[in-house]
Order: sequence, then C-alpha cells, then structure tokens
Amino acid sequence: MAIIFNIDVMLARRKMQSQELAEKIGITQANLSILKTGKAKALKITTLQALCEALECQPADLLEYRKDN
Amino acid sequence: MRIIGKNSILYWSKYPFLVCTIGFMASSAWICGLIVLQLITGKFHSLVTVENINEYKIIQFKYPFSQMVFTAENSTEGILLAFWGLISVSFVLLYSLRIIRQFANDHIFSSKVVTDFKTLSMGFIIFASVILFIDLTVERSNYDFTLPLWYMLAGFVLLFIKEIVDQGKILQDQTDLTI
Repeated sequence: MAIIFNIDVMLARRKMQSQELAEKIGITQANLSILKTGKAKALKITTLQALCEALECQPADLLEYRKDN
Repeated sequence: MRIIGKNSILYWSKYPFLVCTIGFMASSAWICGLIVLQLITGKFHSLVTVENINEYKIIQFKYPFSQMVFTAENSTEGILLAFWGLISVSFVLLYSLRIIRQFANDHIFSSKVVTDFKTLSMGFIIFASVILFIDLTVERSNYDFTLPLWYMLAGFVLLFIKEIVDQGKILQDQTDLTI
C-alpha cells in the first residue's frame, strides 16, 4: 500500500466516532471503511475537502505516502 | 420505454423467452431421447418413421402431444448433426436467457455476465468445430461449411462483446471505489 489514510489517527485526536464523521461528510460508513482500509481506487476533491472541514485539518494530515518494499 | 433494465422491453420479454426456452429444451430432450434410442436399436416404430421425399430419405421423430415431427436426413451424419443441432440451440437459448435476466435486472457490467458471454462464445466455437468434424469425417463426399462458419463468426463476435463487458466491469469497479 503506497498511500495511507490517517483517518483513524485524526478521529482519535478529535475524539470523534466513525459514524459521526460519515454523517458529517455525507458518505456511508461502508465507504468510510473503504477509505480507511485503503481499498479506494480514487478520492474526490469534494470528499477530501469535506474530510478536512469535519476533522479541522489539512490534506497532508490525512494522507501519507509510504514506499512499497 | 427503456430497452435494458427494470421495467424495460427486455425485462418483460424475458417471460415469453423463458417459456419458449423451457418448451424448446423439453421437446429437444424428448427428440434427443428418440434419436439415441434409434441409434442404439436401429428400429422404427410409431414415434420414429422413415419417408421418401423425392430422392431423399427422411427420418421423422414425432413430438409428444402433437402431430408435429422433427425431420432429419436418414443417414448417420444427418442424425448426428440433428442431435448436435438440438443440443447447441438449447445451450444458446439457455445462456441467452441467463444474459437477458442479468440485463433485465440492471446487472450489465457484472462478472456473471462476463462469464456467461465467455461460455456462450466458447460454446459457439466448440459447436462449430464439432459440426465441421462430423461433416468432414462421417461422410466425406457431402459437406457444407456455411453453418460452422456462421457459428464460428457468432462465437468470435460474442468473444469481442465479452471483452467490452469485461472492460466495462473494470471501469464500473473503479467508479464504485471512488469516494
């Protein structure tokens, strides 16, 4: 996995639950789970914007690049 | 009115198609049974008769509950081709029905449709090869390439459609996983 979504870390920092975040950004919990597990093929700019707004953070706080071994 | 999807032309036509397919397959099973019985015993009776029409010897297999007959040339090749023809048409109807049902339920780019298209196309190619084999080996003096060529062409066209559906499925998966 090259791109890691640090949504769980941000959720813990903001003391927010997954369900609450999903409701705030307007996606289903199943889709949020796909994002968290890195199974998503693409991420819409609007979703990223909503995530940043809901978690009060920058895109860089949510995304991390790791080199595959 | 829509052509594909729920409450579409295809959705409502699947029911008469289902009835026709079941009817054809049931009657084909009956005729195939008579053909196998005739090939094993070689005897003629009220359900299997031979007629001479002009210079052709025709074998007739009687359908149940009707006066309809299934006719074939009274030779090993003729009977084998008739038997194989019934099986191939039944197979094509069955797989067409499966694809129609998927399309009628809005499942166009699904793995089931891809598999059904692949099986149907391979079926056509195998049927064409077997017809060609029977035609060329049983009675070498009498052969006709028209039917196997059409079958082969249909097989390759379906294989081409299968590739398109497969590409569509990949795109659909990507769209579904775009969040």
